[in-house]
Amino acid sequence: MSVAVSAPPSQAAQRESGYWHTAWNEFRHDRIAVIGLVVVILLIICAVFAPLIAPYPPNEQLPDGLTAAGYPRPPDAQFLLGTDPLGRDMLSRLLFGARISLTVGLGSAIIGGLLGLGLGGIAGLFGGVVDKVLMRLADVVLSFPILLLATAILAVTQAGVLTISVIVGIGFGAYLARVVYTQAVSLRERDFVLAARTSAVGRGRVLLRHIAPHVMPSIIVFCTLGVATAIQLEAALSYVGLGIHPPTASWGNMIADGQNNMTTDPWLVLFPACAIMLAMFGFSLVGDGLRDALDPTLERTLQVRLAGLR
Amino acid sequence: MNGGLAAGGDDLVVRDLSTIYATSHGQIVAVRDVSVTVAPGEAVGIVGESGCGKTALALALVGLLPRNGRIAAGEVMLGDIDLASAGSKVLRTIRGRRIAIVFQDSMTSLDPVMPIGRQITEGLIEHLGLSRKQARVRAAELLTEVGVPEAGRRLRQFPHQLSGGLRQRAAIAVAIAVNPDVLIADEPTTALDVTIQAQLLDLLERECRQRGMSLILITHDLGVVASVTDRILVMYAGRVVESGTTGVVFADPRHPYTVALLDSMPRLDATLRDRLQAIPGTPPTGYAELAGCPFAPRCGHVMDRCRAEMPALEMVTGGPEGHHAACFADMTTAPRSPA
Amino acid sequence: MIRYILGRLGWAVVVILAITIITFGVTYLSPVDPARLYAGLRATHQQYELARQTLGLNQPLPVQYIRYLGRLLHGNLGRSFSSGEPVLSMVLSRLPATLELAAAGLIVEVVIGLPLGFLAAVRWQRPADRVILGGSLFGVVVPQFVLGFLLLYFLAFKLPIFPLGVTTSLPGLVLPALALGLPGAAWYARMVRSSVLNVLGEDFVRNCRAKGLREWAILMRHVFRNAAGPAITMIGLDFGIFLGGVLVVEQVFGWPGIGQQAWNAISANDIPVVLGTVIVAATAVVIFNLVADIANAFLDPRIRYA
Repeated sequence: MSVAVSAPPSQAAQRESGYWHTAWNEFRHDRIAVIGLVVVILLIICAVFAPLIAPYPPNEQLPDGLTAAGYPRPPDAQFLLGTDPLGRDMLSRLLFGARISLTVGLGSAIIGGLLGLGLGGIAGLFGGVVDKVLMRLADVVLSFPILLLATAILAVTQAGVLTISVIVGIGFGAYLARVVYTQAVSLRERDFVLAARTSAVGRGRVLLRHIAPHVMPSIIVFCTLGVATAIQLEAALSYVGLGIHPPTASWGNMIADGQNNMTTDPWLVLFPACAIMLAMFGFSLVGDGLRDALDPTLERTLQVRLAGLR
Repeated sequence: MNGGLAAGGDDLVVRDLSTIYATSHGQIVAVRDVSVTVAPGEAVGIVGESGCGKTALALALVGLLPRNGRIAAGEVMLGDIDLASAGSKVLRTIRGRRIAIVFQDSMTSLDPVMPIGRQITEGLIEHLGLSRKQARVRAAELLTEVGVPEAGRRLRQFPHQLSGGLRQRAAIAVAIAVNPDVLIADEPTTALDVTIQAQLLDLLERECRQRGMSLILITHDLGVVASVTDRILVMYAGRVVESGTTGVVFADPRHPYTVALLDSMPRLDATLRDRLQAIPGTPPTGYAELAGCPFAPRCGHVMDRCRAEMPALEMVTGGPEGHHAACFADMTTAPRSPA
Repeated sequence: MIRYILGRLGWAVVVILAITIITFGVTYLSPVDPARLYAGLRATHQQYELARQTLGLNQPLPVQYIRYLGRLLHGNLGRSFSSGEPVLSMVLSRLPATLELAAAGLIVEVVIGLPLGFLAAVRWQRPADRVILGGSLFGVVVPQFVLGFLLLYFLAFKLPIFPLGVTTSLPGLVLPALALGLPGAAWYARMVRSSVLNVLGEDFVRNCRAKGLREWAILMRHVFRNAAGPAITMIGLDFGIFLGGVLVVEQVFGWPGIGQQAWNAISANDIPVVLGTVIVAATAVVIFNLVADIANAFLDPRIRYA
């Protein structure tokens, strides 16, 4: 009795696609991830072109920014998203706040990514004392809640986009270093690394050209998800007064400014809140989509291993 | 209790069984048109390289194929029941109670956070309705029977606290506790030392004879089947290529693959100058639908006919009844390697 | 197991030391000059130098650190710049309120997250799983303090179900606990789902099925107990971030805990209070992690009977 079988794929066709091409294809078809990507792109446009898009200067107290009685104006034709207690235009402030959030987010992701790749890779590749010292250091940083670390440092230093990015970046870097380290360790025993090292290639080059491509997917996914976390952290820090200080607009300090008037002028809090959620939403979806696209083996492995009942 | 009571008297009859796995690269036919009958108390060996479908066959018998696998055709009759088309409720009553499986790696097939004793009593309570106390007593007896000393203490221990050999014995105890009709052992000794292998095989043989259990022994190691089984099936690329009584197949193999397997076994009386005979090439991956005999690319006796036509499993010429092989070549005159 | 516990204990000590090094470093680098404060703004140069000497500020760095550590061990976290009260008693007096809020938040997180995560794993890729995954995505993108505001606005103001003002009674605990617990539950459900899926893919689960056990028995007796250990450890690992969330949420609801106290101190530039809070909070996190690790050691027989 014969059993019908479907045709096998051509091996050559698969090879030609290449890794990134296949990944992009996967990503493209993941509708949810694409939505996230659209959101992220819109946010980036808002942030980059804020000076061009914003109807008013963000920090300027406008002459008709307040009502006759001196209260913030609700959303209307002139001020699309209303004004804040100091008569400043909410829409403009939100757009400039996007700059802050995205800068901190991307900045800390890049710093964290470099730190993690560098330290984790070095530790994994060199082994020995360097390995132990670096990884212990990473563990200590990891055990220390990032908010508390930021609080301690920001209490005494001048808060700025760079400072915050560095602090959050260090937190990420520690986590990523662990991930990169484990992968580097498993890779270093593989033949191609040994071959590279025996051929007098400097260890730095080995790191860059051989190890990095293998850990790149994890790093990309991690950094994307990290942007979401960084945005949240920056908002929280600005909210409690540790992060970006007024008059510079940050979504976090906008909420702080508006919280006392929340019952009468809810838009003061709701709009920045929505902005934060939207940004985190976008980056999280993109990060999840990237993870599914770049490492499809995960759920497939589960599919084979989960023995089902008939 | 059921110490000496013989197990149920049904044959396990497998007819033209085929299973398919769906993977991202296409479909694999893991088992193709396999038929075998196992009588009560009989020990049947299923032999082949990794990937030949022997484990898929075992899983298919009890409906334990993973989510991407299914039985595509055939029947598995245990008495009146067709396991291949039975619902999950029926299968659950059969599994463990009438057909039990022992897997290769006892470290991963036993629950790491549950004491050994409970893993044995679980089946006793579930299938035989014993009380907890009765089950515990019985579990201790079982452990002693399978050769685990200090059974009382071991009952309370966890799998990682036992050595590999003891652990596999415990796994066997778990499987035979409820006195199943059929015991399937999938590579039970592959992960163990050779000396422990021998002891474990003796144990399996003894338990099966005493209880009237049928044994299906799955392995890639011909040495293992030689001592324990009454009949063997040789599988290649999901098909049975030769079957018959163990003694006859070993003495008079009629399929080139069987010959090659026998020849590749290291022999005690070989000299240093005799080289190990490996079988050149690799088994097919199973994706493509092959025309002709799947062993053709690696066969030393291949003819043109072999590449075009699939040989049927037929009774061999000039051999005893029950000896079947799927080959066009006449292996009776084929040269065997020396000594 | 003893070795495991001792190892964890040792590590906890190391982390606490690292915390003290960081807070010491921050104090040292702080622009506020304690000698200037001590001596007074109109002190002469001599009086200023005397102040420095009294406070030990002209000692080498490691010595200063040792003295700092010594003070900490005696419970001396300094005095508030604003009120002059000892920082330790200030923080400890407010700590119970924070712990109460944290406990409430954790209860919400576990009570909602654990069953949902388990359910999602067991119904893998079926509708229930997709709904839970989708729902949890929303939970993950809403920061706790933002959710706090949303809850306040919609459930305390628009629909006056919960109190708007500051109360420490039970109804006043609900909204902050939800603000903390719901995003936490979303994260926790995903983690639990992942962990249970890992267990479900293990060989011994297939073996349980081969034994013919009922699905319910397999899930409760085997899967759950294997997944419980990681589930507890995850709570421990997240506690650091969780406590950070608690401190921020205190500000949203005006909850009288150590968080609110710290944020007020920041506006007043009262650094000892801020750093004291950091030390106490970080120590609390380390202790909590230690307890979670020890609990895991008891639950996992592989560690218990190593």
